[in-house]
Order: sequence, then C-alpha cells, then structure tokens
Amino acid sequence: MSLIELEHITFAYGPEEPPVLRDFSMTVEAGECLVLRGDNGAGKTTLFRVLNGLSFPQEGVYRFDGAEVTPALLKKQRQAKLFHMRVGYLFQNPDVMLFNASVREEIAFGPRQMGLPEEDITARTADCMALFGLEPLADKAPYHLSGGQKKQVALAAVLALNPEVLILDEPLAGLDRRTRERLIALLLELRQAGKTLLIATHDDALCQALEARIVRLENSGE
Amino acid sequence: MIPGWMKQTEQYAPPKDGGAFALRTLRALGGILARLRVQRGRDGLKIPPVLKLLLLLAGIVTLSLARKPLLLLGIAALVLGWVCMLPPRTVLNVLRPALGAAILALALFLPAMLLRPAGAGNNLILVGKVFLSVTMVSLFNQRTQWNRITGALRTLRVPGVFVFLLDLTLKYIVLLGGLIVDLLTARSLRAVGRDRHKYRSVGGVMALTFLRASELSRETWEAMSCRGFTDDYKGL
Repeated sequence: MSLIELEHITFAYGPEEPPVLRDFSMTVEAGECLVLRGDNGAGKTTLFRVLNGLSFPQEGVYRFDGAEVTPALLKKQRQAKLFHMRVGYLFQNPDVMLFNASVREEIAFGPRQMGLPEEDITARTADCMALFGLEPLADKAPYHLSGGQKKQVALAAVLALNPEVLILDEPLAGLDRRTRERLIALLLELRQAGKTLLIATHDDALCQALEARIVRLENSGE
Repeated sequence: MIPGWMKQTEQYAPPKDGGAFALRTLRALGGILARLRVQRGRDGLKIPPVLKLLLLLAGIVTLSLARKPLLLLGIAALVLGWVCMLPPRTVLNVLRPALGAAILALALFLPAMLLRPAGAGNNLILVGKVFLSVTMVSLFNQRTQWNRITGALRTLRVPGVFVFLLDLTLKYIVLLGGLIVDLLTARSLRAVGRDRHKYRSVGGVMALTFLRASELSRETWEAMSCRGFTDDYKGL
C-alpha cells in the first residue's frame, strides 16, 4: 500500500471554472522524494492543497496511509490533527504562515501544541533554529524579516512538528545561493532520514541532488 | 546535521481541543471579506450595467416611498420572479443576506409590535421593505461584475476619485480578508494539539492584518508617486 494515493482526481475552483486538475492519478511511497514541475497555473499548489486536505476534489479519491481523506474525516478533530501532524506544508508565500510575536515563539508553536515538556520545546526550537542559523533572529518579529528569512522560519516551524511527509511549495524561491545550498543539503539529509518529500520547484540542482522522481503537470484548463 | 528526534517517527495522539469560537468567528469574517469582490459569471439577461444600476436605484426609491400594500406586492412579485429564474446556488446567495436582514429588522421591531399591536401591520411592511431592498442589492451584486459596476458609476458621471477610492478600498478589503483566511488556515495546519493560548493567535492574526493594511497603503502611495501621482486624480 502506498502512503499517498490519488485516483482520477478532478478539481475546479467553481462550477463554472475549468478544472485545474483533470483525471489526475499518482502514488507516492513512504520515504520517496517527488518533484512536481509545471508551468505557472499548471495546478501544483492546487494539488498540494488537495494533499493537505485544504481542498477536496469534485471527482476521484485521495487516500493517505490507506484512509480516504474526505471532508467528513477531517471534521473529526483528532483525525484532522493527526493528519496535519503527519503532513507538514510549507506555503509558497511564507507571510501567511507567520503569526507569532517572535521567531522563537513561531517555531515553538507546534511543539507547544503537542504538549511536549518545556525543556523539549526549548530543545526542539533551538535545534530547528540551528538548522537554518536563525539564532541571531530568535527574538525578532517574523513580520520584519526579509522574504528569504521568513521562508526559513516557516520551514523551521514546520520541521519542529517532525512530520513524516513534507510538502514544500517552491522552497528555494527567493533564497540566496548560500541559503539554497544549505537547504538542499538539509532536504537531502531529511530524505536519507526516511522523510517523504513532495516539492514543487523549477530548480534543476535540487532535483539532481535529491535524485527525485519528477512528475510534470500540464495546464488542464487550456 | 539534523537532530536525532527528526529521524524518528513521532508517537503522538492528539488530545481533544475546544473553545475555538474567536478563531472561527475571525475566519468567517475573513471569508466574507475575501468573497466581497469575487467576479461573478455571466450577466444572464444582458442588461447594460448602467440600466441595472438605474433600475436598482429607482427600485429602492420606489420601495421606500411606497405606502400601498398592492404596490409593494407588485414589486415583490417582480423581484422574486426575477430571483426564481436564477440558478439554485445564486438564489441561495441572493436570499441569504436578505433573510438575515429581514430577521434582524423583525427582531428590532418586535418590542414595538408587542407593545402596540395596532401598528404591527406597518412594522411588517417595513420588514418587507428591508427584505426586498436587500434582495435587489444582492441580486445586482450577484449578477454584475465589479468592473462593470465601476464602469456604470463612471457613465453616470460619479466623480472619478470616488470610483477610484471605492475600487481601491474594496480591492484591499478583499486582499486582507484573504490574508486572514490564509493565516488561520496555516495556523490550523500546525495546531495539532490543545492550544491554551488561542487568543494569542487571534491577536497575532489581527495585528498582522493591521500591519499589512498599513504596508499596503504605503506601497500603493509609493507606487502611485513613482508613476507621477501628485494628489491630483484624473479619472478615465
């Protein structure tokens, strides 16, 4: 059984809109690394929204670890929380992910939700900040950071939950060369640690470094 | 080098969490704001937007001045007949705010109706007027694209600066509504346990929205200045 199974998914944003995803099928095994490629508007972000249970297809079936992901399933609070615990999502725009007063609080938000002891929360937060060298920014408000720094804080906040699946929408966009290299090395390590990675990117270096399976999305609305 | 805990699978059973009233309310509000300016589909009967706007204004004025129940019933028949020709989803979108407004009006008039039952008929007529007025506005909003509405306002010689401000205000209300929804969505993805500080999140989202609003206003001003705007708006 695959970890993620999409069968004949069709999704449109409205009854009069053309479908963004049309009869799309895909499976992802646990520990696999998959890169989504496609032109702007091809449906990469939409597919990620479906995979995160933020949008539901009009047709087709989405199964995560054997269980069909439906609005009814995600209405059950515990099921929804467990699902979101297992699937981490980095939004394309990190601005919408950062709502806490400081970088430290932002990263600690997830572990605190999990009810971890305070020393574990502190340790996890410190570990995640160290991964990106964010320690000097720990007490700064995320709102006042640069675009690249916001992206790193958002990813650190997702990693603090230690999800099995990481869905990253354009993780390298807006990053300088040194940060890109650091992030590619980190993703490689995460892959080696057995995390399942789904990444939307136009970056060839990332695809090669991760030896990822590439899925190409075509504009179905055209 | 990733830490050891990141290499292990998390053993975690989420606890039950409740009391998200403030978050749900904020999310609903953001959703309403974000939908304000959704571009509607086809205009159905292909009536020019200027004519529609004039008909709407005439309809509201007639409704306000109407005293005879027969005239009110005639207007109601016309408006509801028009609504009946729409697709079911649009009918729902048109009637929901109208019914909400009518119920609110009824609740406001209820004490007066109970204290002075003789005037209940007049109060009910007023409730009916509220229902019909909101239905007409909602119908116009549902079946007319926003850019056509601003076009109609320009045709009616409404001052350009007014149309421009209206357009800009709506655009940013929609953007900020979208931002609230996105922030709360992203929060919900990481809210995997029991949040004892929900109001801190609500405060964070509201603070960010205000900051973003201020930033957008500054950026718009700067972008306009860079294109030669000198406080003197010349409409199209």
